[in-house]
Amino acid sequence: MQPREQLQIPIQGDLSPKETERSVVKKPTPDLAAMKYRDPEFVATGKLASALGVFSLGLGLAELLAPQQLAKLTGVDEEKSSHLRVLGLREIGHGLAILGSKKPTAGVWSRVGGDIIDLAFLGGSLNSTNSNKTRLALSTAAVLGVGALDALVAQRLSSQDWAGAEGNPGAPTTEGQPSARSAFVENGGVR
Amino acid sequence: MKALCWFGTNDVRVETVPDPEILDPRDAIIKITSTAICGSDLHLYDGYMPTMERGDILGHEPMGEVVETGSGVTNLKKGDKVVVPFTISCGECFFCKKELYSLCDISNPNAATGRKVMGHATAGLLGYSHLTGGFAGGQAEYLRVPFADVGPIKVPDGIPDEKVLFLSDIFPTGYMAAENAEIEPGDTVAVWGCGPVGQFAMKSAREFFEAEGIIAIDNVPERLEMAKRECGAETINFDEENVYERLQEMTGGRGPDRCIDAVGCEALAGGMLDGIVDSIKTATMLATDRVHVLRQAIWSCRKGGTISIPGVYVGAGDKIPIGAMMNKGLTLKTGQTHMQKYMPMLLKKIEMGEIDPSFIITHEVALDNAPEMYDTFKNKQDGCIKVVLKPGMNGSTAQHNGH
Repeated sequence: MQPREQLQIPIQGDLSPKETERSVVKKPTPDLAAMKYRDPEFVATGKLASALGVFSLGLGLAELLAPQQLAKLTGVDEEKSSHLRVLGLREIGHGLAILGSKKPTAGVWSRVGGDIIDLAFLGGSLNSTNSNKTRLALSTAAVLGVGALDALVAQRLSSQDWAGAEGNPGAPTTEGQPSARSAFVENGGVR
Repeated sequence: MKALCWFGTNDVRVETVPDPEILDPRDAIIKITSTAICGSDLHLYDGYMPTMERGDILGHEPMGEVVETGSGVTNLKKGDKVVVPFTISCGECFFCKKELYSLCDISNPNAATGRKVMGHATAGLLGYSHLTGGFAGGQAEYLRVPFADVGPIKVPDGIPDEKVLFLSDIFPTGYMAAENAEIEPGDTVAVWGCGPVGQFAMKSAREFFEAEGIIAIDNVPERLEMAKRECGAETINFDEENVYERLQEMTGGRGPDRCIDAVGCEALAGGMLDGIVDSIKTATMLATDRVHVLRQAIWSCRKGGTISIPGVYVGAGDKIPIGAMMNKGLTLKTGQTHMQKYMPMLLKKIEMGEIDPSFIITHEVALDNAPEMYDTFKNKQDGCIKVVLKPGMNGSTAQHNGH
């Protein structure tokens, strides 16, 4: 074999691959931004989860630092405003759980649980004579709305929880395939 | 139906098993007319591949006639003659859309195992252990093909099986190996392993990528002879010569521009120390792969060259000279073949008469004879390079092509 230099053959004509040869056709340089592909739904869900975390922190701080004003705003009996401080601490917990974790799935599910507690608290306030029923109804509607969003985001995050998934739900089934395994087992493992 | 089933290391048998059925809407059932034994089947036969279960049907190089299709398969109909790729791909996921079909995210039902072993799960493969899905293979009279709307390729009725059968694996695999080697016109390409994939890599490098020098490395005389005859290769018998020294000599001290490892995890080292250590480590479960060829390729390749690995590796190997790899600026490209990307283009090349892949066949036998052919193929007896199994053939009419 000759050394490499002498092997160089003059390039004549168009050496570029034919159109029919799909695999070797050089594609134009792809857009770098487009190469960082991430599922838009995945990104959107992540952003929504973060927004819910920030909302938790804001609401929690308000409940903790200004329970009187918040009670007035939501129609809750102002005498029960101290309860709001406890709810506020819980709310801050949700926020920290969501924002402090790379995978906010559990944090967002904890918000769904918190929504149920909030609804129970608002429902309990209806019996109180000092509560503002109109404002309470509006507050309940708001919690229901946010609760639905929480449940949706939590559910989507769970479906993206690939590391915990055992199988591959979209895969073809392998149940019912032919094999000689059953014959082997029926023979008591005797070859 | 009859099928070739795995029962343990060096133990495969033709058993009677239930016929396959349509299990998913995107399934098709193929009546197998020809099916081959692949070199990578030997990794299963030799017990190198974990996650095999007794009774599994082997085989991933099948072709035949469509006898039934599921409601979701509209591109195939009863009576179509098809070649079935060894990879199962959904055609819709992130990876399939990028034509990285062997990396399909969807087709492997045992994805969790794949993630544990490799970080991410790869595509389901026909008849190739439960790590790759546990799908029943094609060394049988009938085969169920999942995602049949994406995988099988229709071939013209007039063309003999032997010309198109290898579209199922080894021809595209050899072609992709040459493509991955980033061959430039005039390059010298060294290929370790002159089995069928090595032969198709050499042939593709020469015919389709304009390589100038081809160097074939093996220790089986008839395989080296085939490389010389069919691919115009110069040869190195590693039992007789020092591969590194001979390669440098042949390339003026520069080293081959592109190196292709068509051997994989069961490399023999011709008595060299690192090969003996590998054998001890794999035998004592300290490593799964014998990486002698990869070491030698990194060592021999010219600076700034490319190493392409079509040979199958399964787990971990020791003492890969990553320092030489890095400092010499080598590029490493590898992967299971993205079959559906290559099959139509290579079928066209066969139809145009640019290549006749049947040159590789040395044995054509009935499915009943498969167990003894595994043994013959493994031990490279009787000049065996490629075995085609014919489920329709009577066991007594086995023939040897006598190349």
